[in-house]
Order: sequence, then structure tokens, then C-alpha cells
Amino acid sequence: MPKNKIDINELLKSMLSASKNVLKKEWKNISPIAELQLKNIIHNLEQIAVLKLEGKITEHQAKLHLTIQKESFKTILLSFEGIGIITAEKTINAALNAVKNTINKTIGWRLI
Amino acid sequence: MIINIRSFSFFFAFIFLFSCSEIRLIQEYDAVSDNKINSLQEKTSRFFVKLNRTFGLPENKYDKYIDFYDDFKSDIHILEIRTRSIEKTNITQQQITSLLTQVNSLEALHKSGFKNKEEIILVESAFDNTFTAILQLQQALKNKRN
Repeated sequence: MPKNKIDINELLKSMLSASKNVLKKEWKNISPIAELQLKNIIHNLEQIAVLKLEGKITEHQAKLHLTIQKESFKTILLSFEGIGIITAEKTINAALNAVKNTINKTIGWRLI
Repeated sequence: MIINIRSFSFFFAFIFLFSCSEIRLIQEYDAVSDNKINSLQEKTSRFFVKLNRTFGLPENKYDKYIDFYDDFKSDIHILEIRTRSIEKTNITQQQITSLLTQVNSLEALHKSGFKNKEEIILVESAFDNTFTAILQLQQALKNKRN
């Protein structure tokens, strides 16, 4: 691999792996969209580099483009984080409900 | 006797904890915010259709789109105020701030003028990803209630 060349597949693999770790159970449901979003971002970053190298955009414009892509990536990660928290919340509440049901069933009437 | 009272208190503290309402780690779904985000996405979509169609023409210049930027920023401000008033909306608030940063950068690019259509495609793609992500979270919040 030439020096300074970004291995896109490797980059995508590590981004997906990090996302999977955050989401675990929810990953199956959102992975098709998430993969597409991450691939788009990586492709866009490549395109910005090409436009700058070909002199089609200035350094200032390239920076503005990078800011937009960076912030877009941030919103994707924030959504992953949010969906992860929702999953945790559902898990905790399901566990609490299970405890409630067990206690009520054990004592034979609705205590909690 | 002391031990019995302690055990009894512990039991009731335990019951009290479990009888509290459900644990909430993240905001509840807010239909007003969700509708506003959907409306912003529609406006942005129309903006890019027009920007692509008018590429290379005088109608593509920043001056012709000032209303869009003003409108977009006003909506963002309304959303910021709305989400700040609701508990545990930290993630949605950050996403809205990020959206504002993106539109500010887009405005700066537009002011300097688009000389390549690829530039518009790049920005449009980023905004599509952003809105997809924000709406994914809104949908997940909505599903949480069911």
C-alpha cells in the first residue's frame, strides 16, 4: 500500500466494529442504514481530498467541506449513542418489571 | 427487636425503590421536535433540488437563497429552545447544534460560490446522512413508548 494512502476498507471495518460494540443487540436492525451512512462519509472525505489535489477548491473551502462531513459523522455517532441508551433503558425497565412481577406473584397480591 | 425493625425498614425501602416509576436514561419522544426536524429536512431537500438545477446560472448565487438560510436558522433556534425545555435531551441538543454548524459552513461555501457540481453533491450527501441519523434517533424514541 502506498504511503499516506488510506485503507478505506480497513477504516470502514474499524468504524463498523466500534458501532457494533456500542449497539450490540440493536445493531442488526440499523446496520444496513448505518453501513451506508459510514460508507458515504468515507467516500465524501476521499472526494474532498481529490477536489483539493486537483485545485478545484481552495484550502478554505476544503476545510468547510471537512467541517460539514465531520459534523455529519458526529450526528451519526450521537444517534448510535442514543439508540444504545434506549436499549439499556429498555433492559433495565424489563428487569425491574420482572422483579415486580416475581414479588407480586410470590406474595399472592399486588404489592408493587 | 432492633434487627426486626431494621429488616422491616430495609424491606420497605426496597419496595419503595421498585414501586417508583420506570427508570429514564434518555428523553421521552417529543412529537413537536420530531415534526420540526421533518419540516427542516423537507426544506433542505427542496433547497438542494433548486441548487442542483440552477448550477452555473445566476439563480445559483447566494443572494437568491438568503431566505432559506434565515428560515433554517430560525427553525434551529426554535428547536434549541424547545429541546432545552425538555429533560434528558442532551443528545438531540448536540445533534441540533451540529446541524447549525453544518448549515453555517454550507452558507460560507455558498457565499464563495459553487464552481463544481461535485461540491453540491458532497454537501447534499452529508446533510442526507445527518437527517437520516437524527430521524433514526427520533424513530427509536417513538418506538420506545410502544
